[in-house]
Amino acid sequence: MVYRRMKCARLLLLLIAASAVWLPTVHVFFSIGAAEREAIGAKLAARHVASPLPTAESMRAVNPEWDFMRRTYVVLTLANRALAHPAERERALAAIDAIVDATLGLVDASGDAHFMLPYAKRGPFMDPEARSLFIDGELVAMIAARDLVERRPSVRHEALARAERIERAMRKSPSMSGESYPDECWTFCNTTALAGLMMLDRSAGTEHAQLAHDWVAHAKAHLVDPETGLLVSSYTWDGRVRDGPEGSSLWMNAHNLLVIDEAFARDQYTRARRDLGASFLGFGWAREWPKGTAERADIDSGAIIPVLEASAGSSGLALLGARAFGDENWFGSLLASLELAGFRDESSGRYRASNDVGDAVVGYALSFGPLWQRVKEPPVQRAAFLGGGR
Amino acid sequence: MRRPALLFTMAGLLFGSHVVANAAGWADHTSAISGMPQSTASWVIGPLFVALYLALVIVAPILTIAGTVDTLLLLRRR
Repeated sequence: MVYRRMKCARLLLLLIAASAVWLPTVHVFFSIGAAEREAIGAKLAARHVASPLPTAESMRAVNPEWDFMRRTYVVLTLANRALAHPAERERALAAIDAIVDATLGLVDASGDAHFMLPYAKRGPFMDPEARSLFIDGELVAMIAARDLVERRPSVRHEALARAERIERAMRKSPSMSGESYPDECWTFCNTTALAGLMMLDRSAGTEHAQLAHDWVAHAKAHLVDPETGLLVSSYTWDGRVRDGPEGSSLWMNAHNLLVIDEAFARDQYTRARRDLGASFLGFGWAREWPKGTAERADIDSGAIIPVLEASAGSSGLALLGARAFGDENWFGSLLASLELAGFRDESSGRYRASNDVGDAVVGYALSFGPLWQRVKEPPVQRAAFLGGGR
Repeated sequence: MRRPALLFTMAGLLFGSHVVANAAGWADHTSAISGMPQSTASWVIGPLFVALYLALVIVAPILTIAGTVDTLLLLRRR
């Protein structure tokens, strides 16, 4: 009996010692360096260029928004690639144009609802003249991003008309925010629209800085969760909070705010990183909600791993946040988790456990930099760009 | 030498299970994690493949290291 117990104890000790050696080492096998990151980004971009408008029926059946958001992230990715890799510019721009034209065509023919969840038709917008800010804002961002690489005058009027509509809707709203769905505003969509307007200011010489300033002032006063200091996710047109802070919105918000109000952007990223970010043994992930918030997984959070509270949606967009804010350690940890659990296809760079919008976010995070840098260029370079240079 | 053999066998079984699951194309069913299942079976096969894979990369090496150390200790004692 004693001999048997000793054998069990010895086995246990062996397993504990082996775990102590192996577990801190695992992440090394899933860490990817700069060259491999570039290779994955290039493969994902090449896939977008080869097939800018892939069949999206199965994705649309789950969430039509993903079809639209995939287009936005792909356009932003290709704009970054075109700026960083002049050899890719021509093909990247052709793919961007195909996406923008097809998207404008679908919105013209079928309306904004084509890219929205069915409840878009549940009733009229509180602002009867408004259109979905989700659609308008991302279309402005797509067109302006293209123009920041190389001007395309033929569709600029589409961006200018939407920009005018966005400004009018935001100014008229008691929450300084446009509706994405009837009586439903999202910080994700409002900050994306404002980032789109900042890009448009840079590419077309429009002026929306005061609108952005006013929105940030309003958001700081009314759209920030008192406990965490984080921007809430959704609220009614008159500003009643529906959903508090959510990772699937916050990382994108912070990234957008970089071209709107950098100090506020850094404040939001720091808080989100503190309340939602996590890492252990070299692997990183993000929660969808701050600790102690009793929420259930939804279409934005994606699957949530119990105990760790790791959210697929929040962790994916956290890649963009970490990259945009130069949080290299956590970016590496998040990528290691993606490599561990994403099941990357070596030939295409796509992640089997993801979908097209997830891959588009990863591609954008990997390519992030040149576009935002161009938006933030000092006034002298801005004047040169507006004067006809690139 | 029975215990090291058992540890190596368990690690081998995890490796073999993963090879079979991979050859059967189960990796594609992990798309269920992002809400995009290949078929209704993906809801079972996808998480099962993830569990097998995590066992391969986390548990199997621990078993192998433990088995190797145990073998060395036993050989030294002889």
